[in-house]
Amino acid sequence: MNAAGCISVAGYHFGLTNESTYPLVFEVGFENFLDQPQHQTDVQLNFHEGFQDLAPNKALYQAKNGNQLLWEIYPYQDQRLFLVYHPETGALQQQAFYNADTRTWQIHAEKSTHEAEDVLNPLAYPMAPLLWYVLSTEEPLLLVHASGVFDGTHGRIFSGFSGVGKSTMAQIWAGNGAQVINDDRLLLKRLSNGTWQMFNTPMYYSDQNKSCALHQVYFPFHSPTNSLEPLSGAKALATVLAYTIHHGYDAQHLLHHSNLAEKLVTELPIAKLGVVPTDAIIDFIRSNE
Amino acid sequence: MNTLLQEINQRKPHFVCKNTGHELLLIPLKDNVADFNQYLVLNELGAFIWEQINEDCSLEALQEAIFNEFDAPSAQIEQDLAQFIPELHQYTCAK
Repeated sequence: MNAAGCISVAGYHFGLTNESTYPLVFEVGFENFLDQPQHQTDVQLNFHEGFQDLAPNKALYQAKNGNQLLWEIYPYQDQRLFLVYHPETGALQQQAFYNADTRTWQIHAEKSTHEAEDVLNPLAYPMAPLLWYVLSTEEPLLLVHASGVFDGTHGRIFSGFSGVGKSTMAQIWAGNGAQVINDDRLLLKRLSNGTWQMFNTPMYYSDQNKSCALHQVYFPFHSPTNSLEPLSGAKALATVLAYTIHHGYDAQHLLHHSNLAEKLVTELPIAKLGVVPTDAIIDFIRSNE
Repeated sequence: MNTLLQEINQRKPHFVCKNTGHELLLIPLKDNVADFNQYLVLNELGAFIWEQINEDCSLEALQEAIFNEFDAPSAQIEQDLAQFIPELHQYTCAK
């Protein structure tokens, strides 16, 4: 057993223990999220080499990209078993057992080769985002499809699926001096004082571990003119949930996220945003806040 | 229509319901990622109808409950239900 440090995401510490004989490697996006071992951790990750022989029952949930399985979730004894597949080859990539009572993951992966050395890469995509997602079902967190920017005083997110202009909005704000927290995926955290923060998570590219206060939530769409439509009530809640990442098989998880999303839509301004992708959108947004 | 009501009732455990003031948001439980953003917002009358649907529910009982709660003309209630129940059935029972 080898304590191998800690991953810090959204202020939560994931303790790492390497139970294999191979050195651990992580994707480049983790480099600024790795930390020294912490006295107190929120979640424990134990890494093992090789897969177990299993005959799981019916899947609770399957995530696919077309016909390609990305991951499946099974009940396993008193735990959840995640079978995670390589997003291109479809080969089994991780067996991950999660014990919610102890908040401990046992993650099994096969060794691979990195710079001519046998290594273990146990959090290869899409395993890591599953960790952030499961954490979001237990903590005041929403994992959202959104870009987030901070202009020095205000934090804003622009949420939606691919193609609505999340990255474009981030580029426009970055060109005008704002810090981009991330342009695709964010963790939103409700603090105990009722305020909200946004955090980036490790991606496939290197980036700093970033966060800022969240003040405004926008749902952009392409439009011939800049426009803004405030949302409230059930419509706002449905819109937030539509772009929040869910594994919709567990009613308790859905209730947790919908309760949290309800707080978001009552505590922060929510609006649909028609966007012409020029710098003028920045003044338009500020003048309407 | 009573058959539709019973089929809706059988599907109710497959939804998480979230009250937001006078509206009700229906969130479907799913075993895959398909259509995961297809939520349904019910207004006050729709939310009332949803709450009334149970294993003993009939169209006649539903009409009477709405009449007592909302004091609307019977003909209007009948017309609204004739439109709403098939729509709710399509949403809740669609595979």
